[in-house]
Amino acid sequence: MTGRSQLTLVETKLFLRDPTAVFFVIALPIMLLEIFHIITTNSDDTADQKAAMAAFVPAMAMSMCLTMLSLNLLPTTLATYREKGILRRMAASPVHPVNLLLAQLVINLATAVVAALLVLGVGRFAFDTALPEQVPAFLLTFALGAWALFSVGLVVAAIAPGSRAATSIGLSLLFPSLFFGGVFLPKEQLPDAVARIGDYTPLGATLQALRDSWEGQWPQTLHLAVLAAVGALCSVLAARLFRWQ
Amino acid sequence: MEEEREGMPVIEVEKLRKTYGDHVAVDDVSFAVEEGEIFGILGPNGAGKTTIVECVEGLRRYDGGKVSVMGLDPHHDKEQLRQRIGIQLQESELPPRLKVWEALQMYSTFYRDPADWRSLITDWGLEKKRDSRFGQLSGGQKQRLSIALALVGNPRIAVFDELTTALDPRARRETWELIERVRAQGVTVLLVTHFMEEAERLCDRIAVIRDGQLAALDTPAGLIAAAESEQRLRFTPSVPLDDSLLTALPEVTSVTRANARVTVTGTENLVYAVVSVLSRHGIVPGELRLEQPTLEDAFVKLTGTAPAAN
Repeated sequence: MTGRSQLTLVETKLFLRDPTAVFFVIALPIMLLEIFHIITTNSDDTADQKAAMAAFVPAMAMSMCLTMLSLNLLPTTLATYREKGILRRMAASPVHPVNLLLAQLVINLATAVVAALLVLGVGRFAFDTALPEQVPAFLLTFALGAWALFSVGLVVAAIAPGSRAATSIGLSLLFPSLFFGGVFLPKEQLPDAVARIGDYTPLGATLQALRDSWEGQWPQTLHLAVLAAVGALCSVLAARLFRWQ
Repeated sequence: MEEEREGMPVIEVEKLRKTYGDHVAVDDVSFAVEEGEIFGILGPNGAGKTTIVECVEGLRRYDGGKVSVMGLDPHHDKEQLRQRIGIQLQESELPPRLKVWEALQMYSTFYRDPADWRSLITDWGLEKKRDSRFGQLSGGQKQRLSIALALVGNPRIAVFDELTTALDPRARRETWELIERVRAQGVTVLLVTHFMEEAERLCDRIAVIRDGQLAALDTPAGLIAAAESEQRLRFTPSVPLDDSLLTALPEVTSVTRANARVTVTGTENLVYAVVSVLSRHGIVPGELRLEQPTLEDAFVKLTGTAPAAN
C-alpha cells in the first residue's frame, strides 16, 4: 500500500476512534429528525404546513451536519495537528503534510455524505420526511455547499494559532450562521433583514438551496453563486495562509 | 551508487547564515560531519543549535552559505534527502489515539526501502506497548518511539534534537546506550544537546555554538585541553580560616566559600602551596578534593554561560 493510502486508512481509524465523530454522523441527524417529528405530529398545523416541515427538517439536519463537521470538527483537528507538531513530524518524512490535510478533508466529506444518506433513509422510512424532488439540483447544492463550508473551515484552521482558538473561531462562526441561516427558525419566519443577510452566508445559502431542491424547484442563482464564490475565495485564502508549523 | 567512503564528510556546512528580521540566528557557521561519527552540537538554550540542524534537514531555508548532505542540497533535493535522513524533532507528537504499531507501520510505508517495523518494535523495547495509544505512553516510551520512527526509513544519517531533555537521569542513560547502538549499525548521528555529560559521553566531535556562531570545534578531550582551565581545590577546614592566609600565596588566584566549604583555584603547584600553609597553621583540610578541568569548564569558558543543571 502506498504511503498516501495508508495515511488515509490510519486517519480514518483515528476518526472512528473519536466518539464525537460518531455523534455527528449518526446521533445528531437522527436526533434532529426525531425532535421535529415529535413537534410536528403533536401540532395542529395544517397539512400544507406539515408538508413544508417535511421538506425543511431533512434539509436542515443535513446542513447542520455539514456545518458542524466543517466549522467545528475539521478546523479543531487540523489546528491540533499543527499545535502538537504532528504536521511537522510528517514534514520530516518523505510524505508532505498536505497529504494529511487531504486525508482529513476526504474523511470529513465522506462523513457528511454518510450523514446525508442517513437523513434521507432514516427520515424517509422512520419519520415520513420527504425526499428531494429535484435530484440534480440537490446533488449540485450539496457539492457546492460542502465546498463552501469546508473551505471556510480550512481558513479557520489556517489562521487559528492553536486548537482552542480554532474551536472558538469555529463556534463564533457557527452560532450566527445557525441564526442567520434559518436553522433555528425557518427563513420565512425570520425578520426580512436577518433573512437577507442569511442569503449571503454559506450555511444559509446551502439550506435555502437544499429546501428548494426538496420542493422540486431549481435553487436561486443567488444562493448557488454565493456558495461558489465563498468556496473559491476561501480555498485560495486557505492555501495561501495555511502554515505547517 | 554510494560513493562515500569511511571518513568522507556526509554533511558539509559552509558559512551558514540565517536571520529572522534583524536578528541574526546563525552567523558564518562551518563544519563537516564524517560518516559513522556521532557529531554533537552543543550550546546554551537559544544559541541557534536547532536552527542549524533544521537547515541541514531541509526543514528551514537559510539566507547564506551552503549545505550539502550526502551530496544533496537540502532544499532542491528534499525528496531524495527525506528518504535517507531520519529525523527526531524537539517537541513533536503523534495523534493521541494512534497506536504504537500503527505509527511505525504507517511511517514505514512512506519510504522506498524501509526497515522492518516489527523488529524496530522489539529493538526499542516497545513489545508490551505495541497496541497502546500514543497518549498512554510515558515520556521515555514516547522518546523510544520517536527514535524508532526516525530509523524506520533505514536512514544513513539520524538527527536527534534535545533527545533527553524531558527524561529523568536513568531514562537518559538508557537513551545514551540506544544512541550508541544506532551508531554501531553504521548510522551517522547528529546530536543536538545542551547537556555536557551527554556530549562528553557520546560525541566523537563537538561543535560549540554561542550566539549563532561556532565557538569551537574539537573532540571532547581537545575542547577541555584547549580551555586551559585552572586547578581547583575544595576542602572543609578543621578550624575557621582567614582567607588572606590563602590569597597571600602567589599560586592562588581565588578563594570562595559555600557554607563551611572552601574552594581555591590557582596554578600548577596549588596543592603543595595550600596544604603547606594550612599545616603550618595546624589546620587540617577535611574532605580534600582536587578537581581537574571538565568539558563543563571548557563550555563555560567558551560560551560565557553556565550549562544547564543535569
